[in-house]
Amino acid sequence: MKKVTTLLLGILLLCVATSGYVFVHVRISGFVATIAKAKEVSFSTDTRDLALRRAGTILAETTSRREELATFVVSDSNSLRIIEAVEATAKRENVKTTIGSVSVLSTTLTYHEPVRVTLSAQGSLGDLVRFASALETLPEASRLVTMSFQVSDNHLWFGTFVIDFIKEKSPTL
Amino acid sequence: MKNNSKISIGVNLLPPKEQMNLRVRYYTALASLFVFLLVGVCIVGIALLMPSYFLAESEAGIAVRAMESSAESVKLYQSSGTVQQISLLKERISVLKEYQGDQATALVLSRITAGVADDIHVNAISLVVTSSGVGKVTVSGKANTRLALINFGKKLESERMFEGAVVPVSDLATGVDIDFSIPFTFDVNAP
Repeated sequence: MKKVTTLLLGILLLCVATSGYVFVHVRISGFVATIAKAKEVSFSTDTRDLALRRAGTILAETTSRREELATFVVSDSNSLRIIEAVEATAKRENVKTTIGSVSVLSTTLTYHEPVRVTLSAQGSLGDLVRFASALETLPEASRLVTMSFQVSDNHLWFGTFVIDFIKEKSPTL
Repeated sequence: MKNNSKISIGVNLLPPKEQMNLRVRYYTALASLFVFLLVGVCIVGIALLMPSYFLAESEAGIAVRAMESSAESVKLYQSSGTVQQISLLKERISVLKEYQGDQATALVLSRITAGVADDIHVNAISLVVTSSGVGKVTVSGKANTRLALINFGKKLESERMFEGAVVPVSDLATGVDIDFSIPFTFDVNAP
């Protein structure tokens, strides 16, 4: 009976020792897996962090240039600048203009949106051509989309123009 | 059987029950020894794994902290608006490139008006810009003669930036005071 008890005790101890060994082994494997995963994530995050740091440096170094670029885009708070630019150009080129419509076009852009201005003008052909040319050289980012000239019976030319300006996107509510 | 044999064969004189009992005790002791040996191996294994365990635990903690620190740094940059500013800059450059103003109109109109002779009276010009420096033009008016209209068409066609400036045959039906409309395309970047 004593011998059997010893054997049973031994088996019990073996179970405990084996469990302990397996536990330690599994824990070490878990730690190794955690290290591998953390290193992998750290690598990609570090790469991103480095890229962001570089981007931050570039942004800091190009502040004045970016501000200069921003002057070509009409700000959302100063949309009137578009109409003022057109009217000032018309006045300078001795052309009588009427703004027909101003509308914001739908866009896939995130930070900017095109504003379409339709206007009519009248004057001599030379004045209208100069006006069209001046519209294309406005400091504001813009694009002359269509224009048409037509002469009337009294040799006065009428022109219609469609220009797209770029302005900062209005914040969505 | 010879008496000088070096091998002596013992005879178990114990009763069979005793013999069985002895055999059981022997094998039980052998099994116990083997089991305790295994227990010892396991304990030695655990003892040998312990340094690795503590080292791995410590390394895992360091790696996780490093990962959290990097993520924190990235989050900080993202919250500072760096990503948005870069996206804005990228979009702004692309938009300004597209909306830079090609100054094509003056060039196109000057080439059209340069080809207008005294016997051609242009009444209307329409211009549609389809992309940077490229578009469609339609010139309409009245020509005194068929020849004047053909010459006007040829002059337009001779300009490298214009393409398809052909006088429609239907416009040549009448001989004098011909109403015409010539559609063509332009490309200010044409070689």
